[in-house]
Amino acid sequence: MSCTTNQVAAGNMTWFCCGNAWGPCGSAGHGACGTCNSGSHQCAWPNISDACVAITRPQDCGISLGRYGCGHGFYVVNKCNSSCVFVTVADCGPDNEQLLRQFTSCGSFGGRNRIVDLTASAWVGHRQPEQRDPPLHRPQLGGAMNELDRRQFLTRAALGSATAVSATALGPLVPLAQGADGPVIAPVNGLDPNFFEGRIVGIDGSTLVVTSDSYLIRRIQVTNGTEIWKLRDTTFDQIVVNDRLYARGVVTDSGDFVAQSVWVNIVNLHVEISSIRSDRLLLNHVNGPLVGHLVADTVAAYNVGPETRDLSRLRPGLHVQMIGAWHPDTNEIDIARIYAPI
Amino acid sequence: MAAWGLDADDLKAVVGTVKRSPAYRAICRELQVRCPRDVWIEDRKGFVHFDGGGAGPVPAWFVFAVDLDAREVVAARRLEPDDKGHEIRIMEVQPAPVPA
Repeated sequence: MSCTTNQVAAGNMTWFCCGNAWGPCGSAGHGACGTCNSGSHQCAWPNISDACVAITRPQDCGISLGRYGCGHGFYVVNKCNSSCVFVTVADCGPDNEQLLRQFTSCGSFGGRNRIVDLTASAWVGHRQPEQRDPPLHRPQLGGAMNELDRRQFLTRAALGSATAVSATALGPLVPLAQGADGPVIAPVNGLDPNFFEGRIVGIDGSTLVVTSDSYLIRRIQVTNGTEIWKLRDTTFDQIVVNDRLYARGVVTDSGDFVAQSVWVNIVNLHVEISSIRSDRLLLNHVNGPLVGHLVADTVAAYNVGPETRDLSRLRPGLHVQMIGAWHPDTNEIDIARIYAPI
Repeated sequence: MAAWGLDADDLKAVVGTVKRSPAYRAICRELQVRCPRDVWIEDRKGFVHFDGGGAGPVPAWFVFAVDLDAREVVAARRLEPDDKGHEIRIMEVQPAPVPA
């Protein structure tokens, strides 16, 4: 079994938290196998036992998934960028009440059902790049609630007589569910209400005005406590219009999103080094050639070793993973970290 | 091939009608892509949503409504956010003049 052989299933993947706190995850239970931790490369699989299948019921969605018990290893391939991660089964899930029958596509590949959940660290990639990194392979799941609300909004805009409406008229897209311990944010058809991504189209004081596929427009409040990453930990004044934003935070009653962490233009790429210059790497990516700029604090990690500023072991033909920041609307990135399997 | 959950005939009736309209001709150069973002039908009216604002950072969206029985565009609106993101302005799309 490898990243390219013996495919056992195809569909959508998402991520989840379990066990000890790690990165974006707080503490949670250790899952059905008792071994699950967000910081380990593990997954939840819908058929680890009879009791598990009785909960997840993939057959209700017309899919048959083989039985792979606790500790079984999978290579999970992201069809959007060909990245591959090895994970072991550590929990039962996801169940069909959550995201089955959602359709996502990437090029010629399309997946209709959510068949595997990765732990947060497995989702981020082959290694733990940094505890604050967001879920970089987050699939673009078109939540039905969002789509419905957007359609209703646009239908009213087309047929109504209003000349202006509040931008939050699209919502409330994030209903509050009353839990035993007080109000909690409930996921809406798989869209994580505490995660938001989009393109910055305006800056209003300390608020970012962001457009996205799910929300036509949304205001993202940045506070003194918001952690901001743009190639490195940085400050609000480094954010500019047209940057791409990924944010984790909470939603207020007004519909504004208050960010706890913001990652700007962040990318996580699997590439082949085609050429090396003193100040940049020329890269081959599945979507075309890229230019990776080396900056003062670019570091590399060789063969799961510690990070170093010594880039001398990089060579043309080497396949590496890179984390960096896009130059929006170009094929260029600034490289923060390089992970090389040598 | 059908998309957005519509069959090919409905899709053609909705999108084809929009793309032949003077209102679409008036805005098509402002679109990021000519392919609609979304198409749906409600109460015998078809709706098409396009993403605009491709030339600059400020987004715009266009929504067209088509009467499926009459096969004609009954509404065409342009939506733009204000610069603070508080409001979305809704404006009528003025049809392009018919070529002489």
